[in-house]
Amino acid sequence: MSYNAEISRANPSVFLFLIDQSGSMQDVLDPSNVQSLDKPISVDGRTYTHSASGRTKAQGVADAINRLLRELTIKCAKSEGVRDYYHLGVIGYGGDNSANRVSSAFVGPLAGRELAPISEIANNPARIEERGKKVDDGAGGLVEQKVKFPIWFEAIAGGGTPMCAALNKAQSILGGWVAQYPTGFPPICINISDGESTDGDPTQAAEGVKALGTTDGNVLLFNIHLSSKTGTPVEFADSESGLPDQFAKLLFNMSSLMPAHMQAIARQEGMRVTEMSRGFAFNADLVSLIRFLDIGTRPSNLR
Amino acid sequence: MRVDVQAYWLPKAGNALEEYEDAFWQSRIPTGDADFLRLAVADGATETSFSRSWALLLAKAYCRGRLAADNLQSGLPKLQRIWKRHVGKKPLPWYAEQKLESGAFAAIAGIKIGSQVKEWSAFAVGDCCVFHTREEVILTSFPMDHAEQFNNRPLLLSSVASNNLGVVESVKCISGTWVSGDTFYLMSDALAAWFLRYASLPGGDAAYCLRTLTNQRSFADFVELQRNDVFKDGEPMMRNDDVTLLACTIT
Repeated sequence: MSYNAEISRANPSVFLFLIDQSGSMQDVLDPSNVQSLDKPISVDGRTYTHSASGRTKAQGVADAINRLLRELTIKCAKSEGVRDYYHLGVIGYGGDNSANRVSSAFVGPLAGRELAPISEIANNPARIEERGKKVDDGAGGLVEQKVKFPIWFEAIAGGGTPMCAALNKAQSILGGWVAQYPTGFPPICINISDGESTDGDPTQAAEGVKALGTTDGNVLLFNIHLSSKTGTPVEFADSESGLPDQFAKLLFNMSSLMPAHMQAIARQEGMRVTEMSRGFAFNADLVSLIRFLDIGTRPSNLR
Repeated sequence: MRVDVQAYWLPKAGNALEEYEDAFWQSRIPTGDADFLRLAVADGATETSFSRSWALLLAKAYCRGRLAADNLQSGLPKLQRIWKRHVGKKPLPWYAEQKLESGAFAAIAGIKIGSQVKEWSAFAVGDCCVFHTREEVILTSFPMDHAEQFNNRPLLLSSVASNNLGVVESVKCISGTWVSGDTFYLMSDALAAWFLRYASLPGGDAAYCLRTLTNQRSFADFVELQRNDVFKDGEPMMRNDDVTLLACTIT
C-alpha cells in the first residue's frame, strides 16, 4: 500500500464524486432570520415548523464540487491544453420517495457521462461565471481579483438519501476502472453529504468501495460532511471526538486514512495532521486535497 | 583555457520531445585570457504552465551576465515582463488563463568559470545542481549533497513577482578553484539525485558513468536503464522526470 504509482497520461487515476441531492440538502447551512411558520408543512416526508434564509447545503455542495473540479482542471493544465492525468465522474443521489435516483449529475454537454477525461471536463462546463476572489497583493494586503468559475453541477435537492445505492454504484464504476488500470494510482472517491442515509447503514457499502484496489493501494474513500450544526470547520480529522452528531461520526468512520505521502505534504504546508488523520472534512471543501496530489514538481511557493 | 562542453537532455518518459521543460545555455567559449565561461541548467516546474519558456529565459539571462545571485532583485523584473509578453500573445481558454495568473516557476543552477584566474563561482535556486569533479572524484556538490534532500516541493524562481517573497533570500552561492583536467557537471534534479545516491553506494562510481557518455543516444540509453532499475530498497534508481546534463571539462 504505497500510494506512489506515477500518475501520467498513460496511467491516469480517477476522481469520483458522490453528491447527496436529497431533500435535506435544502436545509440552510448557517440559518439566519429563523421564523416560525403559522402551521407545520411537509416536504418529501419531512415536517418543517420554521423557515430560514441563507445558503443551503445543496448550494454549498454545488460550490464545493465546482471548486474541486476547477482546481483539478487547473492543476492538470499546461500551455498546450489539459493533460489527462485524471478521469472524473460526478454521481448524484436523491430522487422521490418512490424511486431512488443515482446517476450522473453533470449538467451541460457532459450530462449523462459517468466518467470523462479531465480535458473533456475542462472544455465542457455548462457555463462560466465570474466571481471575486481575495488574493495576496504581494505587499501584505489583499486585493479582489475576478476569477473564471465554471459550472458543471447545479444545486439540486429532493427526496431521500440513497447513500448505499450511491456507494454500490461507485463500487461498480471503480471496479471497472481498477480492472483496466491494475497497477495505477488508486481511485479517490469523495462523498459529499449531510450523512442522513435513507436506504440503510452505508458502512458495509463503503467497505465494498474501499476493498477495491490496485497493486499500489486500495481505493480511497473520503467524505465531506455538510451540517447545519455550528462548529469549527475541520479538514482531515483524526478523531471523531468533537464532531457534532452521529451523521458526522458515521462519515468519519467510513473515511480512509490519509496515505503517508499526503500526510507528509500536508505537514509541509503547515497543516496539522497525524498518522490517524482521515480523508474527512466537516463543513469544509477539501480543496486543499488537490495540492496533495503528486503529478510532478510543485513549487513550495506556489499558492 | 580549452573547454569541452557536452549537453545531453531527455524528456520525461511518456512525454513528447516538445514537452521537455528543462533548459540549458552556455556563453561563448572564452577566447581571451580575461574572459569567463558561463553555463546554466534550469528546470521548469511540471505543475505550472509556460515553465519551459521561463526556464530558458533564466538560463540565457545568466549566461549573458544579466542575472546573478547579487542582482536578482534588479534582473528579474525585466525577465518577468518578457515572459508575460510572450505568454500573452494569443487568447487562452479559461483554465490556461487562470493558471497563467499563478505564473511559471523554475529552478536554476549557473556556474561562471574564469579563464585567467583559475577560479569558479556558482549560484543556485531550487534543486538544479553543480558538481565539481577531479579524476572522477566529487570535490564539490552544490547546493544539494545528499539524495534525501530532493523532494517535489522546492522553492523556485517565479515569473510573478509576488511569488518570490523569500526566494531571493534563499539563493545559494559557492566558489572554488580549478585545475586543468577538472570536469564540472550541471544537472537537473532527477539526474542529480541519482548522481548523489549512486555515488554514496560502495563502488558507486557515478562520475565514471557520466564520463563514458559519448552522444545523445548513449545518454538516452543510460537514463532509460536507470529509470527502469531499482535500488535495494525498491526505489527507482532515477525518478521519471525531464533530465538535463551539461558536462564541462577544462584543460
